[in-house]
Amino acid sequence: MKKARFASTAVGLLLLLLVIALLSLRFGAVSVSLSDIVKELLGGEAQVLKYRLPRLAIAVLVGINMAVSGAILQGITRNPLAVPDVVGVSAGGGFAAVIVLLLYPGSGSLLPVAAFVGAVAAAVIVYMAAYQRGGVRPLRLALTGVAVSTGFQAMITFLIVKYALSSSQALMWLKGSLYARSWQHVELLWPWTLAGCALALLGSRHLNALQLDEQTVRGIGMKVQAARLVLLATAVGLAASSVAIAGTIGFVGLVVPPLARRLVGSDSKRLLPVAALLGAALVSLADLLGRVAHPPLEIPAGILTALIGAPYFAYVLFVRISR
Amino acid sequence: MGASMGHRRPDSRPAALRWALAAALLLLFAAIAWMTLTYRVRGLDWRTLLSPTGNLKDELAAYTVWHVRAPRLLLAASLGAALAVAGCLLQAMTRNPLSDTEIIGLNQGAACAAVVALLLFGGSDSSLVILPAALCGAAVSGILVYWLARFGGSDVSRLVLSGVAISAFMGALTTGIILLFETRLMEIVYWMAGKLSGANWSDNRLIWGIGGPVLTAAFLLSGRLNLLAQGDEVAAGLGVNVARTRGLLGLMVILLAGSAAAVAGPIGFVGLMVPHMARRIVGIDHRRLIPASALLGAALLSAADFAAQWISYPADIPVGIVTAFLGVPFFLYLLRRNKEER
Repeated sequence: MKKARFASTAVGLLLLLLVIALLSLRFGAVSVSLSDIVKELLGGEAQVLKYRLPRLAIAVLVGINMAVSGAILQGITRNPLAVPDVVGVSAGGGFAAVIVLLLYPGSGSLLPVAAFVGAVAAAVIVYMAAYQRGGVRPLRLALTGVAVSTGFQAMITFLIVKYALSSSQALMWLKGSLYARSWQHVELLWPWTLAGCALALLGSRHLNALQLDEQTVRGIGMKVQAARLVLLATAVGLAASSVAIAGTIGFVGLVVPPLARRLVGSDSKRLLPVAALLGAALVSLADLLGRVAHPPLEIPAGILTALIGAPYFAYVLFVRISR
Repeated sequence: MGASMGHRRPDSRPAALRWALAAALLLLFAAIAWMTLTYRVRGLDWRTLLSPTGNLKDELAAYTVWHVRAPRLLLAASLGAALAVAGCLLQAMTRNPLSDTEIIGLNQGAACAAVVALLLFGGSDSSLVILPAALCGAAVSGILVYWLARFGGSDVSRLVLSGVAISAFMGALTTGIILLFETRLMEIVYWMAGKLSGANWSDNRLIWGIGGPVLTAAFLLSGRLNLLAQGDEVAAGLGVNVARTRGLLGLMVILLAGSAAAVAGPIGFVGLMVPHMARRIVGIDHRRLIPASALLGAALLSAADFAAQWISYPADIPVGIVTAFLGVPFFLYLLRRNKEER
């Protein structure tokens, strides 16, 4: 029964993703009809292939990364608010990436490394600041993360104002735009996604167990700390890599996992793939809408996800936690 | 509840000490003002400054002091006072030590509305456009936050987090709008970060016109604020119309926050930090707390603006960044200290 439901959901989401993918190849500042796309694909050396396809690929990868990362973090901490944006990972990664972008503009390969380091540092800061009397409580974690993120945002604004060069680009990037992403970026991103998802799926059994309370988990005989650490590193890696490539596309990690849970239940083995598909669909849809809303200008995908995500955040806060 | 107002110790300080503290605050502000006015102005000492305007020998120095430095200093001081008192009122009204106009999203709402208005009706006389828009934006945010917080029960964290949600929403909206009209991007980014450069006397008049009456009203209401701090039931029992007082306070906070944001963009955390510091100095009685907050806020924001001007000269960084640097650690400290709450 559950398996059938999972299969049908997954197939449905795949179809949805496919439709969005086709639409986002077709529409944009210039519409290209599907037959032309096919012709171009067959003929090779195609505009669509060169510009829209890598962008779509990035959207899918980023969506997967953020959604899986959010699902893992929410699972480990048993906290619906513990998602990459809220615990400061995005802001920290963003800060480090802006430093690299502004100070060493030429070094593209340094960017992911820097963002990763920044993201990890921010996550550590937030956890240490929120840790009190042997635990981290949901709302305190969220508040601390928000405060630390604000601090990082202030530093980012400082850098942008001080080194006013190409600040429009920096702002675009900060709000999570997929503008002008090429195959080079895809190549940087996909290994992270692949490795992260593989690790997450391998660890899905542990992730399920970690959602029980501490004593039970120890009773089962799991190395709690080790499992938690590996999963945590996976989550941070996933989030940091996508922040490094596409900026802070917010709220995906917050919105998607609970939705996936509603669709297929809370078994991580089923939850993670469905969350990944949903995340991919959401980000590519946001990117598509941002491109077609007001051509030739673009609204960054991150803004659209924030406009969807912030009200949902309020909903989670009040309806889900207050009970 | 008692814990959230912080350390509630009796006001046992003698009056003389209190006056001495007030005098020290005034001196501090005077020192900051002096620094701001004269720093790196050549050929200026106290004699030339204190003589009437025309007597300044050096034209350039006179211009610098009276047309660049002084309006900016006064604007920083007025905004600091306005924001600090707004924070004070907000903390009394919500009985929440973490409230601030920035944190609960009023500033972002004002910024969002102001940006929309700027792009729709922007022209040469933009401050007349920005002000009503910013007030409306702050009011919308305020109502939303109030509604959300009531919906979720009056919990310290929840008010803040609903503010965060609203800020994120409004911020995303603002950035989206800005990016669609990219030509005026830099100007708006700069304004959004909270800036005071290019302040002139008309900005000052604007903030005095709104802030002055509201601050007076706040001072007049301080007795009622003291009662409200005791809890809704106690205040109602002592004859305070709680709902109406709260509505009035909300209106005042919106006026202060909206006009401040209209003049200088969103400047955060002054309203968070200053009331706590002032409470340490003069105790929890609002009759003393409000004037002390105003004074301390003026000193703090002028000092922050001084730092913002010179810390990375010649780049003039927005003062909102400096206050955020100060405010974030302060917020974390309050959060940790506040153990009873989550």
